[in-house]
Amino acid sequence: MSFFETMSLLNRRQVFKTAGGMIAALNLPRVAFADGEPAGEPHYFMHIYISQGMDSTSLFDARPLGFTQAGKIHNYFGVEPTEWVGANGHKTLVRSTTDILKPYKDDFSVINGVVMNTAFDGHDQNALTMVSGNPFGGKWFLPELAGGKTPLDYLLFGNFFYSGALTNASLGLVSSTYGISSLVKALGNRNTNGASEDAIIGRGLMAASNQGGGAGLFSSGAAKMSAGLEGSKGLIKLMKQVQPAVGGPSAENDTKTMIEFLKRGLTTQLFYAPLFDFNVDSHAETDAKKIPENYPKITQMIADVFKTLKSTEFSPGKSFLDVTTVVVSSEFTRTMRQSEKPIDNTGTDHNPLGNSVLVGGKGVKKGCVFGATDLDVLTNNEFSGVAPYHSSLDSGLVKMMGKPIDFATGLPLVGGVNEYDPAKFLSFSNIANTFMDMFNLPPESRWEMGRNLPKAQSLPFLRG
Amino acid sequence: MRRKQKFFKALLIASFVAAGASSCQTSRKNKGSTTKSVGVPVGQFRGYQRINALIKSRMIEPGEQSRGFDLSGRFLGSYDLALLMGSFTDASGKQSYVNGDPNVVSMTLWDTALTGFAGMMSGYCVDAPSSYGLNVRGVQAIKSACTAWPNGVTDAQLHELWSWVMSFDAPESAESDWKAAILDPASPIRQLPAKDGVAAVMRTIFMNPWFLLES
Repeated sequence: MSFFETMSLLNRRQVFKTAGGMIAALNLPRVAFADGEPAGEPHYFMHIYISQGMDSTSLFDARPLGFTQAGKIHNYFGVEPTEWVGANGHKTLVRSTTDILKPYKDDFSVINGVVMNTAFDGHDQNALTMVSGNPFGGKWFLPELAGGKTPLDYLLFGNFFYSGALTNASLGLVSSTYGISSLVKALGNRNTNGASEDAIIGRGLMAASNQGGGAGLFSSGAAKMSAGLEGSKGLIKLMKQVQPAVGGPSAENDTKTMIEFLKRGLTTQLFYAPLFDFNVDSHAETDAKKIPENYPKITQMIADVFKTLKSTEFSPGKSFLDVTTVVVSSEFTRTMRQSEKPIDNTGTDHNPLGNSVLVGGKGVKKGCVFGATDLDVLTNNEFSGVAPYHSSLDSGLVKMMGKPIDFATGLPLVGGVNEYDPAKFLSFSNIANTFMDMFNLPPESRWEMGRNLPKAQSLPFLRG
Repeated sequence: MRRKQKFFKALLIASFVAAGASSCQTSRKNKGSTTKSVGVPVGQFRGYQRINALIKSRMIEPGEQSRGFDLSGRFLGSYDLALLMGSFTDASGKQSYVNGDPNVVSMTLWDTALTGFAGMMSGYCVDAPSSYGLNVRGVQAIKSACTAWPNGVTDAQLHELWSWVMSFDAPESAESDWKAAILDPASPIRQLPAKDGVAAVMRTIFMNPWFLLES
């Protein structure tokens, strides 16, 4: 086996670990980077994030009009929701906002009743729980899925305000179609005189990295600069090949540009966080009332991503959707109403107890409906059958909460659970751990069910 | 008289030593600490905001300083990327410094931005001033180096370029080593035309760890 073949079998971190010295580290990454993804079909991952907390009752987890007449939940649509029946026979009520996604019904599954957090209801804590399993930040699971095999651990496209709190968010790019176009242009315009300049820069870095015997933190920083600069040659070479989509920002153009990064072997992990021209965080009743008008923009965006992935050929007979696992989520859903406001003039607050998540693409069972939320039965205009654990977490009964589920089938359990036990409820940790299974991450990577609790179990029913 | 001269000479040397100690070495007070008061650990990037501020205060004409100087926006095309170059963030309601460890991505971004800046500065060699007005000291230093490039360029001219950017941040040995590399007659950099040569000189200063890293 040749040296280059050996190197292509090592991932980037192994290369650094086995390099054993700075000089070796200077030269090895370039080999791995230039070669891109090793042989075999790649597995890509795309997380679509709708920021500010999207109301699942206005999408895939609606309630009948009678609930509004009973003063339990806003309904600015003014009509009954319709049924969405999964291929597994499980149903949910949906709003007309989901009509746009019907052509892609067989490309994804709906998971309702996902508990994000029972202790915190802030945007940042739930967004960080969603990406790292820790409300205060930690290791982002998406770069971990990359496994250090590509120059970039991820491409973050759009705006994820909380990435700064993630400990492993550095080896990726944060940008937009416009930003990528500008960067590719800047890289193309780079006018350096190669080896002669680099030799002088390298001389300064070498002197600094040897200062004080090379043991100090400044010396270590200089050595990292050297390694980074050497590795950047491979990254720049690949980045220059990227052809950003032409035209203004749109989900279609953004997806096309992101696919370029996959095609060039720059990364396998995409995080897409588009911004919308309306306020998703609809505390104000004026914002809540515009949901029927505004949410189709969200579902159109999701549909455009699916359409673009599906219509872009990966290999003969295969599209990029066939090789990409897709998850769509917000940090939490929203309350059914604000207690102090009349039902026809209410906004919505944060509800981390019963979120909706969409999953599709490679390795996922598609076309199904899993999980469910409670507060779904009315008797004499009052909720009936409310579990004791719900009242303890939401005494005002304004937050729909995930029901306990059968982890073999993904279907909700009926009764029998009186206390909140995270092992019996579906959480984002279960979903993230399932993705980690798909990407063969080591067991220690899996998220816990909560602080100092055992690891959350994966979801076999989600695999397909 | 001679004793008096000796005394002043000794005083001068002592004051230079003291100045050097205060700018280049860890103070006794901070000994053992790995973090400066600004919150950036030693050995990590000084950070995007700080480098921008340094460039502005040292190199930009005072009248132009009120205009936002933004390396990332100007030379990378997107301010988003600044987060990856060592940056302060207030995610989760607490201020923290992130992405300060040099790596492949951050070095690509720093090098590309500063290469662009260096290239723009060398426009003064051919009377094509930048859209950001460099200060008089810098313009003179660049023009002087351009005129003398390559064979007439002197140690003093290089010192002026170095100290314009670096101020007192680096030890003398780093400057001497850098000047020796530039002045080496065998250095291929000296084969470049003046505009490219001066751009290369500026890039090699910017990419010196004493400029980019917290020491």
